[in-house]
Amino acid sequence: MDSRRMTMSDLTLDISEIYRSMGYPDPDSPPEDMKSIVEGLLERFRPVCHPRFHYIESTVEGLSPKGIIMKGLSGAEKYLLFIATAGMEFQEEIDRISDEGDIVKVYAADLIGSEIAEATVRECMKAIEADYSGTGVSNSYSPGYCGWVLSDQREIFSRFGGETCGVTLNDSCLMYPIKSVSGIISVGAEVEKREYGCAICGRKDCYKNRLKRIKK
Amino acid sequence: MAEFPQLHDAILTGNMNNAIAATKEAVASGAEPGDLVNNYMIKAMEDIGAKFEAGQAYVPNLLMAARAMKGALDVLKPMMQGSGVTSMGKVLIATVKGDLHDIGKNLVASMLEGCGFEVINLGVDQSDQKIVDAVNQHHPDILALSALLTTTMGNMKVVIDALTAAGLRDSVKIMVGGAPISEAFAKEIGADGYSANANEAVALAKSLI
Repeated sequence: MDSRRMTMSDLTLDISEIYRSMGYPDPDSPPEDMKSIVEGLLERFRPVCHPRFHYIESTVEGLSPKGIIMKGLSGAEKYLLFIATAGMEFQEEIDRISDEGDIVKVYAADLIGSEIAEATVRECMKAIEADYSGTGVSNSYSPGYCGWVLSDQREIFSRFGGETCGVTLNDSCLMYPIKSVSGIISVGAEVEKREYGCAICGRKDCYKNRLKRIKK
Repeated sequence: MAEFPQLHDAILTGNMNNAIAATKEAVASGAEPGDLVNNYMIKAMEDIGAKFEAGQAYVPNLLMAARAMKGALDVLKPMMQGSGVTSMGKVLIATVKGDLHDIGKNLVASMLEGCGFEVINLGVDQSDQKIVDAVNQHHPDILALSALLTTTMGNMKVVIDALTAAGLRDSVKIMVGGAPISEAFAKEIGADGYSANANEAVALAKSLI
């Protein structure tokens, strides 16, 4: 079990991923005005944000991940559940940005939030890999993806005994702050980190594959 | 007749300040709001859409153009009441129950607004009942539904079934979109159309009106 409250400087943000999500093929291609918006927003988030993660050892009983996810978890000797979040401070700041009414800034801030949440998951993974060094650690898998029903969020959250990094679930089992990730990870000698997400998705009309599609 | 290429160019390049200034100058020189909207502003949005389709522009370019368009439209709005300038149609847009993703939906909403549609944005995590109530209240020409998750895309059919049960299905065209959605899925659930991105959504909405 580990729990951590961080600052933005503890995270390794992949800025190129933010631009890739916007559709730009590489970090040099965005125009200066877009880079300036992203950098300005990062400066705004940096002093206020406190991303957090928490993970616990648990079981897969009572949860219903399917197909690709079960394959990704195979070889498990232990299962870990985690919650990672960009934090309420991020949520409050992006709410203020939304109130300002600039759709370009809101769009960029949303993508930055996604990257903060993903970078927080990466820190969580680093902590797990350090705590379980010498054994295999799987990728992280989340309800809502690859056929894993979102309602399992209730069971996952119930196992944290209230220590959920300030993340709550609404009636639809969606997390708040919005930029939060929950999920499962397996550890064990036979566990491998299998490709997941974009690496195995063949969806041709996904926005992340748009440029590849056009070039063909 | 006076021409205002600077207004078209300001929107095409997403420069809101220049778009507002060009609109004010055009109005001061006696231009008709309807002429500015139809011949320069909507044309610029169509042009940025074409560049996007060709891979020469990105989502932020679409958003910046829509923002510039909105700034220019705000200048014209006080003059447009009773001027005979009508909207392209009314669109009600929502992300379905169980899904908090709103960036794609908001991008579609901004593009539709920029291209002359009246848009009512219901927000995210909207139940079938809330959407049925809103259709009943606003009488939109088009209902646009968004979902990003494979686990929530099924709620689009729940909404369509609820509209049918409420006797409203034939009163509104339904278009769907979102990362897991496909043309085949749209047909399967009985939607009238599917678009893969915000630019296609505008073309689809025009074709459904």
